[in-house]
Amino acid sequence: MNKYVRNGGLLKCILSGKIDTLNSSVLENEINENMKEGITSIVFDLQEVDYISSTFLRIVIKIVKAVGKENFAITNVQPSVLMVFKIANLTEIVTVGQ
Amino acid sequence: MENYIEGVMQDATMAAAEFSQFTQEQTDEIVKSVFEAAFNNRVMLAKMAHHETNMGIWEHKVLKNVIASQLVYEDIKNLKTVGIINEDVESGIVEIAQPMGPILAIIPVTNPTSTVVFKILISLKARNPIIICPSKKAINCCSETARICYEAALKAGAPEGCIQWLTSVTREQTQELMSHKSLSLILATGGSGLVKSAYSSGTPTIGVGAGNVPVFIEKSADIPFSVEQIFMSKTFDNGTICASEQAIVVEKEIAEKVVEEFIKRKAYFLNDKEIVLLNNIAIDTKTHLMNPEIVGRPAFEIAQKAGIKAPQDVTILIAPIKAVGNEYPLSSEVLAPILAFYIVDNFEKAMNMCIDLNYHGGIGHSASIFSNNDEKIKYFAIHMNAGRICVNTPSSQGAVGGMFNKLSPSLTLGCGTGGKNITTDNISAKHLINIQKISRRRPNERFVRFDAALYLDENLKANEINELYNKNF
Repeated sequence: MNKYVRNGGLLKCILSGKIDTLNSSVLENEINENMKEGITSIVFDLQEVDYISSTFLRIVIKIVKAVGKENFAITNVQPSVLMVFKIANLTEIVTVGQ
Repeated sequence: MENYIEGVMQDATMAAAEFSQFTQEQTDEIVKSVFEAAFNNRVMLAKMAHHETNMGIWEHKVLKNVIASQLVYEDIKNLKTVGIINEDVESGIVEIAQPMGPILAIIPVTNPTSTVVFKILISLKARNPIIICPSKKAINCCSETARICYEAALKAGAPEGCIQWLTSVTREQTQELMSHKSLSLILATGGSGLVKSAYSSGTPTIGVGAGNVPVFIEKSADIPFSVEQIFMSKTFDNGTICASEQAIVVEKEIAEKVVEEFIKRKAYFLNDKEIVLLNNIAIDTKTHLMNPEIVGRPAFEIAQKAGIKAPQDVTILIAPIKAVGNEYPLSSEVLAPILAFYIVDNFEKAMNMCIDLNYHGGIGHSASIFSNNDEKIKYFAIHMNAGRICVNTPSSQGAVGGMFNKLSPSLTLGCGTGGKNITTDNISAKHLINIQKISRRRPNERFVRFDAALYLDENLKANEINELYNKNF
């Protein structure tokens, strides 16, 4: 169950479980719904995520393009997920923090 | 168009990232699903390949698709390619398989659909996304094969973008792709120019070399059996497999019998004038390479084209020639039902002729011998520079493996350093994983107890050090 917390212009998305292709499209819809006016930056908290699909990675790229690298970050990644970001060459364009 | 290659590579990279999380079971499900889809479409794809390329025989292309699907699947299905694949308590070494990442697969016109199926199966088995780059003369059949495989892969849960195929790319785009920083490996099956440019791209490449397969029918051979095997192999898909026999070498003692057996099977022996006519259309006199227009065409059609009056039911055109080299064009590789034929005085002369043939454009590829003399078989093998020495088997099917021997079935045959390749193996899934080794502490007793200061004494020679090093051991 994903949680969305708004704090001023920041939208924090606390994601959980396995983000496969199917869950990714659900996630994309949820994010779009939560992208109300005034949201200028987004953070994905992946503490509870142990699997990410290529569809999720494409969503990440889309968000970076939409809000800019400086306004998007990923935090609390597990080692197995960090490895996936590395293989996808995304740590160069997205701030992925532990 | 500039972003096209970037887009392809981005999709492949995302797929690689997702794939890296798959378990062995998930991977095997995908491979099984792709095998079944490819196998179930074997006839349609063979006909499509034949229609589009105008090469070979569609029934034989069905068999090639069977080799690439059923035999390859049988060969790789139980292979461990994910996580811990080997654990040896005694040596303290544990091997872990990791995927390589996106693979670019260059596909030749001679075996298009089968090579696509083969490369997709071995890449997916190793959890690598694959990008199919077909020969311009086989784009439709390769794209359809890739599409069928991709659909089956997705159905079994594979990552999006794990199989992509290029329908129209320029030479520059191919170069761009080959040298893209996110590309992990090129599986280059094709002409020497393409293989060389793959090697030059800076991306690790598994390539192939050209063949020029000599066949020695040694006098202890079962002649009718040998000729039947060669006949079956050389006429297979009109000779499009690069491991197909190129030249027959026989000792004069058995030559008459061999000729008789070939004639029985409707082979046509050319006279000197006809050889000149065939030279003109078979080999380009400047490049000394085969003429693509006769590749995979039937013997009768080639004879007609050359102006040779061969019977309509001719199966193979055989050119008795004396030596090897560019002045004897048919001593070079021709992927068509054409054979050079040499009659020599004795075993040593036969060996020398085979060595000449092997080194005339076929270094590292394959060689073939029919014999019932184990000593001579080994002698022959030692003197050939060939990754595969097929014994008493048809060389096309023999070198490809899985049918007449226990070689790994493969449509990418490594030719060793002689063929400018890194391996002489039949390439398969095991070549497409990175193997990590966990090495637990297992001290080398002699090294640990040895007084390392002794190494600093330059007066101590190897034998003295050795004595101390091995003392009481």
